[in-house]
Amino acid sequence: MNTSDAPLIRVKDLSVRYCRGLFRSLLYAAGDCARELVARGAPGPDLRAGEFWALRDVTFELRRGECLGVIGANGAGKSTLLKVLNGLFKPDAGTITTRGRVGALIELGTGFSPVLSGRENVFINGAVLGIPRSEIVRRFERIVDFSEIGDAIDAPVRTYSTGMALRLAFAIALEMDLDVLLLDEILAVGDVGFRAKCHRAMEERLADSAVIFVSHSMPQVARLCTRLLVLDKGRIAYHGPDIPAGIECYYNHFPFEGDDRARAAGWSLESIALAPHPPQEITCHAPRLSPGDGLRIDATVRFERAFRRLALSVLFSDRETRGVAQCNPSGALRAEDLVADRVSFQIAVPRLPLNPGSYAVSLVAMDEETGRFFGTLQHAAQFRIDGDRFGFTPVQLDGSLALDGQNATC
Amino acid sequence: MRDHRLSERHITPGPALGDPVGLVRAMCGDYARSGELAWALFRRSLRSQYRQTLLGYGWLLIPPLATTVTFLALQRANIVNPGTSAAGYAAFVMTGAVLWQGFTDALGSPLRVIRSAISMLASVNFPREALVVGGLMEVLFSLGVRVAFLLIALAAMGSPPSWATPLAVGAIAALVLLGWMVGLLLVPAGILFRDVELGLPIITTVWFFITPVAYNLPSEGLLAIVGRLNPVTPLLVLGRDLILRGETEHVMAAAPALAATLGLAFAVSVLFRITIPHVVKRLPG
Repeated sequence: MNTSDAPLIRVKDLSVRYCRGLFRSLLYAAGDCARELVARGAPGPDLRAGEFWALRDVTFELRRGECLGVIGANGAGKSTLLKVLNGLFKPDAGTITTRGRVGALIELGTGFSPVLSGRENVFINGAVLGIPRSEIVRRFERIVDFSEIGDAIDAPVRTYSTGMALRLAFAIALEMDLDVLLLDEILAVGDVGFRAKCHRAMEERLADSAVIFVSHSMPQVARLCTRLLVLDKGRIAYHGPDIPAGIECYYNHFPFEGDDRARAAGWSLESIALAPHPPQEITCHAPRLSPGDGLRIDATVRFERAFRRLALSVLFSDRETRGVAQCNPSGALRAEDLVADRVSFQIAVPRLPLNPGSYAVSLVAMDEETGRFFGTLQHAAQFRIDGDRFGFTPVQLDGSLALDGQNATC
Repeated sequence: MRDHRLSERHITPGPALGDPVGLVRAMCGDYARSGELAWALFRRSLRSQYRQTLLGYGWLLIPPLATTVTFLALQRANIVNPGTSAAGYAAFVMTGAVLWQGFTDALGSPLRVIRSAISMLASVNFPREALVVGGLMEVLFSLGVRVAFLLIALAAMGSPPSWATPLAVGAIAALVLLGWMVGLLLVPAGILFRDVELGLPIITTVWFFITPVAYNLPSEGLLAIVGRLNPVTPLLVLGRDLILRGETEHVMAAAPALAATLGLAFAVSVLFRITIPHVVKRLPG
C-alpha cells in the first residue's frame, strides 16, 4: 500500500444546506444565482425559512492508500457529501482541497442510450467519464472482457438485461485513472461471480488511490475501509480508524425491535432472559458478553397446539437481521413437560465465537414426529458482544499458527 | 513522489466572479476540453434520434417544407399577397422558413439538452459546456442539411441561389448564435421553473408572426416598428437577401444585432457557468 503523507483530499468545516419545500427551494436557487451575478457567495450562516443543514462542520483528510467508509442512516448526508466533493456544486461553508484527478462512481451507466449498441455506448460513456477516446480504443477489449458481454457488445443496450448494462457500465468506469475515487454503493453489480470480480478490482484500486466509499453494507465497509465516518443528520457522529466502533455507532441509530412477548403460530413467549454462561455476577435482560463467552437462555413458552416431542433451535441474527449462527441443542420438549400449556426451559450455548456487536435471539420449534414447524419467535431477546478484535465475517474461529516442524495446537 | 506534481483544486463557497480571470480561464479551458465529449454527445443524439424512425433524416426537412406549403396554400387562397409569382414566393418562404427553423432550433437546444441530461448533471462532473456545444452541433448539422436541400430546391424551381450565397453563411451563423444565446440565457430559469418550457412554444409562435419569414416587412405601422426592434429580422432578411437576390439594403441594420449577439454570447456563457452549480444542487437524485 502506498500511503503518501500529503492528503489528496482535505475537507474543513464543510456545510451544505438544503430546503425541504420544492417551490421555496427553487426560489432560493434563483436567489443564489442572483447572488452569484453580483459577486456575492453563499448566504450567511443563518438558515433561511424551511432550510436545514444536510452537512454541518464536516472535517477530514484522506491520503493515498486510505479508504474512508461513509455510513449513516438514509438522509444523513452521505450522497450530498459525495456530490459536493465531486464538485457538482459548491458548499455553503467550509473548504475542500483536492489534489489530482477526482472522479465518482455514483450512478453507473449515466448517459447510456438504449437504442445504441454496447460498443457505441462504451465510447460515449467513456467520454462522459473523461476517458480520452484513444484510451477507450486501446482498452476496449479489456472492457468487453471484464464486463463478460461477449458478442452482445454490438447489440442495442435496450436488449441487455439490467445486470448486463450495469456490468458494462462498471467495466467502463473502472478505466478511469483517478487519484481520488468516490464510490456510492455500486459494488452490488451483477451476479455473485461478477461481484467478486468487482471487489478484487476495487481492492487493487484502493492501494493506489484515496477512496471514499458510501455504503449500507457493513461487511463491505469492514472489508474495504481503513477509516470510518458516521454521519447523523449531517453531522459527524464518529470519525476514526476503529471500524467496529464506527459500525456500532451506525447501528445504534437502529435499535433492535426485540419482543419478549413474541407470538407465532402454535406457541408464544411468556418470558425470556439471557445471561452469560457460565454465570457471571451481572445478569440482565440484554447482557454484555466478551468474545468467546457462552450464553444461557431461560425462557417460558405457552403452546396452543398439541405435540409429542418438540426440537428447539436458537437462531442468532445481527443488526441487519441476517442469520449468523444457529444452535440446535440436544434434548427435546415433551408433551408431558407441559404445565397448563406452559413449559420453562434453559438452553446453554457454551461458546459464541461472534464478532463484537449486537445480536438478537429467535426461537424455532419443530415437531419431531411430523416434521412440522411451529412459527418462529422472532427477536425474542438481544445481547451484545464487546471487544476490539473485529473480523470481516460474523463468526470468528480459533486457530493457531506453527512453523514447519512444530505442531499447531487447537 | 508523483503526488508533488498533482494539480490542486479548491472548492469554496465564495462567488465565482470573485476571481474573474480564473473564471474566464476555466471556462475557456472547459470549452476547449469539451470538444471530444460534445462530439460524442452530438453523435449519440443524432443516431438515437433517427434510428427508430421510418423517415430518418427526412424529419429534418419536414418543418420548413410544411411552412412553405402552408403559405403557398394561403397565397393561392389570396389570404397572403406578396405581389410575386408562386415560384418566387415559394423560394422566399422556403428560404425564410429554413433560416427561421435554424433560429428556433438554436433557441430551444440548450434547455432541451440540459433537461435530457439531468441524471448526468446530478452524478458526473464533466464540462457542462460540452452539453450545450453538442446541442449546437446538432443545430448546425440540421441547418446544414436544410440549407443544402434549399439550394438544390431553389435551382430546381428556377430561382438558383445568387453568387453572394457564401456570404450568407455569416448572417446565418449570427442568427443561430443569437438563438443559442437566448436559449442559454433561459437554461437556469428553465431548469428550475417549468414555466419557461411551457411558455417557450407560445413565445416562439408569436415571434414567428412578428418576424418577416413569410412576408416582407411593411415600411410603416405597428408591425414595422416591432419588426425593426426584433433582433432576428435584420439577420434573417440579410441572409435571405444574400441567397435569393445577391444584394441587400440590410447590412447596416444587421450590424448592431451582430455586435450585440457576439458581445452577449460571452456574457451569457459566463452566466451559464456560474449559475449551473446552483441549479444542479436542486436537481433530484
